[in-house]
Amino acid sequence: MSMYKVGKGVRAPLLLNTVSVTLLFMIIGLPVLAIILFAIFPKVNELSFAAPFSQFIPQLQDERLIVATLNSIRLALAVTFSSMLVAVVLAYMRSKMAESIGRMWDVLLLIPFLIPPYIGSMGWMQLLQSNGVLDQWLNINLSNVLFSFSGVVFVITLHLFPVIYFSAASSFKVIGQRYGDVAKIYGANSRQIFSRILLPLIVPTLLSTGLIVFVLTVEEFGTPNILGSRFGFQVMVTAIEEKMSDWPIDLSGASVLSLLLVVIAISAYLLQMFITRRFACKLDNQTMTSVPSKNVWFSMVSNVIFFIVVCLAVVMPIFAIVSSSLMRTVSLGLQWDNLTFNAYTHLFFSNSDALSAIYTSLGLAAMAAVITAIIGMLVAFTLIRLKPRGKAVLDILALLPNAIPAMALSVGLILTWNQTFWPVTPYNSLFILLLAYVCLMLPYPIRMLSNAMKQLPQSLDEAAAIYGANLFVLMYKILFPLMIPIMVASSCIVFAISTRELVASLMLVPAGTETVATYVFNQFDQGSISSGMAMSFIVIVISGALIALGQYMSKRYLS
Amino acid sequence: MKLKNWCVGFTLLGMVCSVSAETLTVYSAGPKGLSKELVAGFEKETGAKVSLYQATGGKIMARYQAEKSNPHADVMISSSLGHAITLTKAGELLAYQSPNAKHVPDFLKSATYVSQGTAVLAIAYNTQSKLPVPTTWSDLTKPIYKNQVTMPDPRKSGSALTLVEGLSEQMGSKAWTLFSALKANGILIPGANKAALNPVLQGAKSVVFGAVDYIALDLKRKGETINVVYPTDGTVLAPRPIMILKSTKHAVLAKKFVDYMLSKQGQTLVAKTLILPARSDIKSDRPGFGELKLINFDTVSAAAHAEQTRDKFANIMGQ
Amino acid sequence: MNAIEINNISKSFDDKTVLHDINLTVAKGEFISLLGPSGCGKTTLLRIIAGLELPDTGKIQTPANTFVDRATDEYLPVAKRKLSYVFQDYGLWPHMSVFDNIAFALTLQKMPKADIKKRVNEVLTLVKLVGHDDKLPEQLSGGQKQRVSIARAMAGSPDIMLLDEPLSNLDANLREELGKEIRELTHKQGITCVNVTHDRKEAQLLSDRIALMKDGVIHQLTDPVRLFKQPASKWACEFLDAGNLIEGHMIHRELGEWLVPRTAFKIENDNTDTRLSLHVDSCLFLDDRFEIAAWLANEKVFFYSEAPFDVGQNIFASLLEENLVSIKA
Repeated sequence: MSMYKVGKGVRAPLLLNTVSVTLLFMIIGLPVLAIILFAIFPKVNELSFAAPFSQFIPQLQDERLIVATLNSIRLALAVTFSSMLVAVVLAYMRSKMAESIGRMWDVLLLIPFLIPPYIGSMGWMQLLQSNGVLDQWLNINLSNVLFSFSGVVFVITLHLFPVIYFSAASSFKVIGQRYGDVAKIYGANSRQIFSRILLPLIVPTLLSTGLIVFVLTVEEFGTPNILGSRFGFQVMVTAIEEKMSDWPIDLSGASVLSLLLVVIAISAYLLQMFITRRFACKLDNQTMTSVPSKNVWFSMVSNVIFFIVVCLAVVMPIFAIVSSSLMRTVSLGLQWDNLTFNAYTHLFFSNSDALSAIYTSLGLAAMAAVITAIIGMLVAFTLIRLKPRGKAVLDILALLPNAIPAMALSVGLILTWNQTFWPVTPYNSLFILLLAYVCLMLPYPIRMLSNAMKQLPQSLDEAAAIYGANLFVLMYKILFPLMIPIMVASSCIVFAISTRELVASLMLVPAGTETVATYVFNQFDQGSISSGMAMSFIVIVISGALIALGQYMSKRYLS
Repeated sequence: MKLKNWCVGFTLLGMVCSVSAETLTVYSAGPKGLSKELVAGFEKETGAKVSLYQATGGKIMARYQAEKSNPHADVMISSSLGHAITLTKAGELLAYQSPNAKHVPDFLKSATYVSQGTAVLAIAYNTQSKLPVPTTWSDLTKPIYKNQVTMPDPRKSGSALTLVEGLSEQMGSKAWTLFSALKANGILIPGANKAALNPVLQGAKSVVFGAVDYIALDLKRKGETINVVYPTDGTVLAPRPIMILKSTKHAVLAKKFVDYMLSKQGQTLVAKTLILPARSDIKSDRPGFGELKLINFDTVSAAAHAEQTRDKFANIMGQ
Repeated sequence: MNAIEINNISKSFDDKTVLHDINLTVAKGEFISLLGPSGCGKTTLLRIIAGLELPDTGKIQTPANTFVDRATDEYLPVAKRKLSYVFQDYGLWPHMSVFDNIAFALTLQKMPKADIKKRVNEVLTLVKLVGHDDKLPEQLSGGQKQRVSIARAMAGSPDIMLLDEPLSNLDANLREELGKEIRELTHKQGITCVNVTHDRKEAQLLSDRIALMKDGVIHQLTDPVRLFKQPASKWACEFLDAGNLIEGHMIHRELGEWLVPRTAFKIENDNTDTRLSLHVDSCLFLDDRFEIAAWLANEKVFFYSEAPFDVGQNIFASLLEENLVSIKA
């Protein structure tokens, strides 16, 4: 597309290109670079370049590492496949559903983003372990199932499949009825239509979001740590965290291992590109509203399946959170006389810390949501329309924050920004948290917006240029309005995850400040599980309400 | 256009940061309530300002390490003695003997650090489990405790490491036989201290081998059906060292802060959390030094081969 | 005066030459079509004129501006060329109403609101879409969308309009109707048009002149009648479907390849030795006459006839000499 490349007098594309490359580099590239440097030079934190590469051999010699690496890959593959399966089935059913009901399920399936994975895992443990709720009430002890490879896959899948579901659902919408109808004319039954026509057509979407799930699983710490350590299941991230969890702290070693994760992520990215190229085909760009299925059985079965999934992925963890927040003591369990609202009254009436933590987190999350949407838009435009040289590098850079453990990335951020040579630095202020959230969350808007922008016909841009729009007018009047639904959707995800982000918050929070997650963490640390859970629940409700409000407003704005 | 605003924002922020130069920065791995009360008490008494960063022992050390080229912390309170030993060896600590430290037993202080207080490693058990109360570490190898015992992982918990070191120091090779027997008896090693305690609290398991006592005592105080016993064959301490960093620009204030923590007021606050206060002359609602049988061993030399100890332990546990 | 002068334009993509030294001048108010099979470079040429692509060499000029000149590295950005463009896929902005789509350029030019309203109404009248201003593109049919696209192109009273297969997405009846309208409108307004198409009928319908393109060069440039009556090559005959290609001695002329148009056959009742003997293979009623396919020895020929024949019937025909065209290989 050389409309943006052509020579002399056309500086705007170049400027835009430079701006988005610079932003990506400053926000993601610098901390990643810092991690790489730290892996190579173990003393780079003291600004010394002594003993380069001295960490590599000793770190990589650890034989547990091979097992952990294989476990990470195995787990990530299993989670990716099972998430795809769940997501595709649901997304297909969603495309045949009446809009009103479908939208309700969509909102419910956003909730898993709000729930910290470790809390979800704690909830499942509480429910399924021996002497757990299910054991006490129904005498069913599923602890062997939960504390197993499939148990870990199950819990992470329930947490991550929405990432694929939302993209797959919008893809089914684009593909629409037409291709299915064509196949029907040529005698295909619905199962054949699904497997032969629709599935291959959404493969690129599946792969591109599947890649995110893969990488997120490789990076996932909470669930493997809580469930996996019960049956000796080590993954890369738990090995990395071990190097930073207690004495002795080995940041350089952790950086070396983080590089392994980067390698895994890049390989996954290349594999995804390779497969996508084989499936690549261009859909014509007409969106047709899909017609809800009139088959009563089909819609009943769909709704029942949605109901079951929502129960497992949403109701269950929320139930665990609420019940823990109401328990006077943990050891007495779920009994009527052990229930109390003390945790809530305490939060609201005698605790200004909690409220200020909520303000801090919501404010940061809202800013992160807006900023990532804007940067995501610029980067998506650069990647899809300007197609600069080295596009793959930018693409990979935009993926890395999902691949590198938040802990390592936080160290990278400190190494980058806590230097005296910067005239100004966000470090040691709330801005570093904002920067960290933006860095960690950027992959979501970039992926979602680039996928969406690929679907927009080029002629829309060209028409704008022909009729006198410069690049900024094009962005402002054409692309932004067209992308607003996707920007809102990605912002909601960023907002949801930011309100609960723990690891980076704990590492980077400026002295004297608290976020929701660090507050909850400190409550757990003091043994006040109920008040930690109460705080979690309140924040889930508030941010859920804000997200619903945001979506409602954006819909009203659009119509 | 947006960018310009941000630049302005950052500039203002930088100015704000440089204004607050006369505050003491404390990194603390402690119960949040305790650190906050200590800081509030200190601020009230001296009129100085303290900015407190609160996280786990590992996180504060990680942050300190990462910040090394441009340090911010003046004082650190860790939950692992190992950190103090490492930093002493690296020469990064400012030597200071607080006048208030004279009431602190020698094994809780050195030239470069002094303990705020100490946790004691103990056996914690769920009183609803109806199992006999163990009295020694080796009791837990009995068949009656089969599949009922958890233990924090020495790879993730400094205090558990200290316990393994102490036991192997005192019992020699018998310590390793003990761990093998525990393994044979189905001991679960699910992670750091909290991860080991939670299954017992929730009733999935019954006993913690090597629990951090003050956490369990505090839960008991809150009404949890949990109790603590100190094995009669001796146990170890997990001291919480206070350190002043050499890089501090507020050494005077930092010393004052250490003094305050070791003052009667400061130590009373420590006692309230059921952590064993470092000063032996402070009363608290928990077993004191006199009631505990402690294993004495050279923590510094043990720390030198911590790596092997952990690997050996992990091997026995089949990790 | 020439509205557009195109000199020595070449362009390659990844070592594949798409345009090879193109020269073309378009007169003011002229409607010219670039006709050719896909891959001949016609769309690339149009996009180069618009400024959506940059040529490797060459120069494009209008009386007012130099659009591009690679020798001096001059380039006028797309937005400043004051062109209009009709896209094959309409290129209507889906989030804007018909009115907003048409008013876009006028708004950017800061025309007063009342004038914009007036102008939009004028062009909507021209394309017969009055009353549809508030609709979104998705509420319109294909033909209506293309009309909006044309209205948008006319709104700014452009000197030059570029059209990229404007009729190809429409069904046959609509195609003819809209084609006639486009021709009428652009002629009336004196707009210079460059149109790209692969459809010879579309080119015939719209153009004053046609540039037949093949493999990145202009193969033949002439008015539609001449192009169809006297194609320059065998390939052109075939591509244009101009008639039958027959090799041999034509009546009294030399040996060679001859284009025999469908209208060159005259049915005779008698059989002399100059007559062609034809065996009827099929007979179709098209428009207002019959198209006969028949075997001439072992070659199939097509011709028009006023009257139908039975399949399998043997008939005799003579050729109208003045209609025959000798084709160079």
